[in-house]
Amino acid sequence: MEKQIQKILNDLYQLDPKLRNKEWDLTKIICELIELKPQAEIDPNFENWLKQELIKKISYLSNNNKFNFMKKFFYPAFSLAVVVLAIFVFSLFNQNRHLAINLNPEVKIIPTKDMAFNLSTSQTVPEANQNSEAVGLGGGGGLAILDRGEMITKSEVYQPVNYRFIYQGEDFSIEDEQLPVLKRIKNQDAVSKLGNILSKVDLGILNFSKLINPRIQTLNIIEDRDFGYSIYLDLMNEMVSMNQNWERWQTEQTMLCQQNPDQCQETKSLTENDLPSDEVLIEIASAFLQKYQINMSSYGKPFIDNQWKTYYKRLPEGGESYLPDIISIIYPLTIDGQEVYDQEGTGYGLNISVNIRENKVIGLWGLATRNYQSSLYATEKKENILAAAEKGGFQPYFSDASGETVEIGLDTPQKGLVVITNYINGMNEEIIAPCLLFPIKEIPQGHDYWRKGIIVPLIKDLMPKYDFNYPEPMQVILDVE
Amino acid sequence: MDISEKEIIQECQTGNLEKFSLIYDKYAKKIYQFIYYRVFYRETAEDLTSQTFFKALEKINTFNFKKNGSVSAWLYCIARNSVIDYTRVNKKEIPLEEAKEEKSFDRIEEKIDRAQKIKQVENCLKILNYKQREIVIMRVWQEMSYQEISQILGKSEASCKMAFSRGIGKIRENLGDLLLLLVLFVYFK
Repeated sequence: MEKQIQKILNDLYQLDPKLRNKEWDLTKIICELIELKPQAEIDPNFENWLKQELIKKISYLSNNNKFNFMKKFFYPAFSLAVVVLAIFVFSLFNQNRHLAINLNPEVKIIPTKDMAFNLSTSQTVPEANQNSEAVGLGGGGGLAILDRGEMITKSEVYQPVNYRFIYQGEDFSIEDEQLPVLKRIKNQDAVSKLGNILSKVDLGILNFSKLINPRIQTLNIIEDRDFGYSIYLDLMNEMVSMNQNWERWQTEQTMLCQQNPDQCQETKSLTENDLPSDEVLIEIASAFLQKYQINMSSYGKPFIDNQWKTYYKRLPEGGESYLPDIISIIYPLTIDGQEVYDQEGTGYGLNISVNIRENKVIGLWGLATRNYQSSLYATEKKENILAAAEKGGFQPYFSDASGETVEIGLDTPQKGLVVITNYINGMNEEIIAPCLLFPIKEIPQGHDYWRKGIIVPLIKDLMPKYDFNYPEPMQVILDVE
Repeated sequence: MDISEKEIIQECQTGNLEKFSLIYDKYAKKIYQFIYYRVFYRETAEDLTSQTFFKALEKINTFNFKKNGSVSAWLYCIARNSVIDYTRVNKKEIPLEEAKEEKSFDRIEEKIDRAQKIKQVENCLKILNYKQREIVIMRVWQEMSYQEISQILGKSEASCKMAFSRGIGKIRENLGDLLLLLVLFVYFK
C-alpha cells in the first residue's frame, strides 16, 4: 500500500510541487480512500454462469454465420427430419420463420482457465475385475452379444483366472507437464427455441400458450414406411439415436412369428458361414450413413466390434453355440487426430448395429454435438502410470488365489484420449482426457483376453484410485454349475 | 494467457470466436469491479457486466488497436458506457445505501461496519464531480495508470492527472478534519 500511496503522491507533486508541504494531509486522505475501498469480489457462480452464456452465444454466432438451422442440424443429419419438422413448424405456425438452432456435430473446443472442472468424482475402481460377465455379476453387453443367458453351456462356467499385466514395451517418457482435459458442453439452444415456438400452439385439448417457459426436451420422429426408422432427439443432451420403427418393420421371420408362434421358435441358428465379412458390414453401415446424410466429420475409420468372438472361441468343439444376429460397427470419435477410447480401450463414438440375417442397419446411437471446454491439468509421473497399467488401468482384475495366473504382456503405449463419465449433482458430465493405451502384446497360448489394451489416464487428478478393500466374489457364485 | 491479445483478436475477427473466452477469463473480475465501484449494487453490477461482455462479443469485429488502444481500454469503455446508459435510464445515481443488501448471511456487526463504511465512502465521493470521482476510483481503488484512465475516458493523461489532483484537493478542503478523525478512529479503535 505504501508504494501505491507514494506513486499517487509523486503524480500530485509533479503537477504542483507546493503540495509537498501538505504531504501529511494528502497521505492521510489517500490512505483513508484506500481503506474505504468496498469489497467487490465477483460471485464465482455468476462468473461461471456468464461464461457459459457467452459460450452459448459464441457457439450460436459461430454456426449461424455459416449455416442455418436446416443446414446445420436436420439437413446434414437427417434429410427426413427436415421434411417432417419443416412441415410441423410450417403447418403449426403458418409463417416462413427462419429458425437458427445450433446442433452441430463437428468438434469445437473452447479454451478456459487451468483446472476449471470438478474432477473430484473420478472413479474409485476396485482392485478387482469389472469384466463382470466372467464372474456372473451381470454386465457384459453391447449389441453384439445377444441373450446368452440361456445358452451358456457347462464348459463356460467361470474358471478362476488371475490376469497379471507385465510391461514389456520400450522406455518412454511423459514430456508434457500439463495437458488439456475436455468437458462436453451443451448449449440447449434447441430446447428453448423449439419451446418458444411451441408456446404459440393451442391443441384444443391443451393450450401451450398457457405454459410458463415451455421447453422441448425430446422429440420423436418416425418414418412411416416399411423398414422405416424411429428417430429420437434428446435435445437436453443434444444426442440423436435411431431404431427400427417396429410397426413397419415386418420381416419374413416376424410375419412367421405372428402367424405361427411355434415355427417362430425354430429359427435356424446362424453358422460362421452366414457371417458377412467386415468389409460387407462396413459397406452396409456406410450406405446407411450416406443415405441419411449423417455428418461424420468428427468420426474416424470404422471397425467391427468383435468382442463376441472372445466368448465364442471359448466354446468346445461341437458345443452348443449361437452366433449373434446383430453386429456393431463403431466409428470412433477423433479429436485433433487422436482417437477416443472407452475405459476398456475400445473405440468410443458412433455405433451402428447391423442385423446380419437381414443385412440391414437396425440402430444408431452416439451421434451428438461435440462442443467442449478445454482446461489444462497436471500430468501424472511415468512410474505411477506404469504401476496403474500393471494393475489393469481403469479395469483392474480380481486376484483369486485359487485360480491359474495368466501373464499378459503390455507393449509400448500409444497416446490417445479416454472418455470418462463424471457424475456431479445428479448429472452426467462427459470428460475426455489424454491417456496412454498399452496394447496387449502377448497372451499365453490357450488363453484369450477381451481387451485390446489397457487404458491409463495421463492426468494426475483422473488416475484410478484403487480400493483394496473391495470384497472378493462370493464363493456361491463361483460354484454354480 | 499463452497467446497475445492481438492474436486473440485476430482469431476472433477471422471467425474463431471461441478465443473470446480467454478475454473473458482475463477481464471478468476487473470489469465487474470497475462497474461495482460505480453502482455499488451487486445485481446491477452483474447485469452490466453481462451486457459489457455480450456487447464486446458482438462488436469484436469492429475492434481496432489503433482506434481503441488496448483490449482492456476498449472493454472498460464499453463497461463505462453501459453504466452511463443505465444511470440515464434510471435517471438517478444509485444510492450507496443499496450496497447494504450484500450477502445476507453477514453478521449484524459486519452489516453495521459496512453501513458505516459506505456512509464514509458516500461522504467522501459526493463532493466530487462525476469525472473526478471516476478518476479517483480508477486511480486509487483500481490502481490504473493514467495511460489506461486516459484511454478509457478519451481524455489526455495531463487532463486526467489534473482532475485527480483537483479531486484530492477538494476532499482535503472539505473533509480534511473529518477524515483525520476517521483515520484516528480506524487506527486506535
